Amino acid sequence: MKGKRGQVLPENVIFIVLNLLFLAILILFIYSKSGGEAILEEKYAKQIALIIDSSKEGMEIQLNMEDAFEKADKNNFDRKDVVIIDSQKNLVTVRLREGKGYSYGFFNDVNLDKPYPIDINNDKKDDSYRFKISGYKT
Amino acid sequence: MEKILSVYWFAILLIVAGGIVAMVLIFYGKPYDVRELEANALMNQVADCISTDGEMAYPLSELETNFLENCHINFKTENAKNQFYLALNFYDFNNIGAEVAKGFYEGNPNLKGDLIASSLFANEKSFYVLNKDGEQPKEIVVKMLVIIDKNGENA
Repeated sequence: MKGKRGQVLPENVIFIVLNLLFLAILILFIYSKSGGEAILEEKYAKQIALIIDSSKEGMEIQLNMEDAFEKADKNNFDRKDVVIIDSQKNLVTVRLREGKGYSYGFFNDVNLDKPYPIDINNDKKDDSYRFKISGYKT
Repeated sequence: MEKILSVYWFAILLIVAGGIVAMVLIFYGKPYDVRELEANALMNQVADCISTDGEMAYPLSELETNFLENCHINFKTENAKNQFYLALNFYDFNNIGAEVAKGFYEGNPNLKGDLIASSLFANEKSFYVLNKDGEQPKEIVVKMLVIIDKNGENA
């Protein structure tokens, strides 16, 4: 037996390839579910609403939203329209594609300046959103 | 070819895949429940409003009048209507259980009745404050109860 060269059986190769394929499909499924537009829209709408609830008059908030911007770019959606705040209805809406997006309300009775995307990293690409609490309504 | 076409192997693959898919769908299918953070933010806002440097910011007798407006809280918007309940009670610090002033509530009182039966979120906190309104300063414990519905968006 000494000196005999090893052989790779074709069925073993196919078996391993099929297993890897199965694993890859599973990972892709999990990735697509965890980083989907709907999840990000909900996450950021709630996060922004909570930030507004905890903020005081005159505060300026800069929130990093790079992952959301990447999704918006993929969907050819303007970054300026990603976050909309309705101060009359106390409602934050985040959209990363055409459609209604996700809305969540805040109880803090404040007025906000129009939010807009800004570049904090100085890489000539907007990576964050800027919010400014201009004052209390009452 | 025996391995590839093995029925048992495919059965195992299907069970594993089914399990992972079910877990992912259950985990990501549920909305993020942020009501605890929301309740904390609300209670902080109320505490900041009532107490300034550890002292009552308003006379206790006048606190209830325009309370929400004074504290910049809005429960009247379309999405907040009937979703919140906030109750405040005032106790003597040296004799817990003895009320020093009549408590009051804001928001939807029906939520308090529904608390046990449904999946509403409730949280209670209290803080110490000095009332210098009367002849002698009085130490008060303010108890806050917050109940939030918003079931459709959080549970």
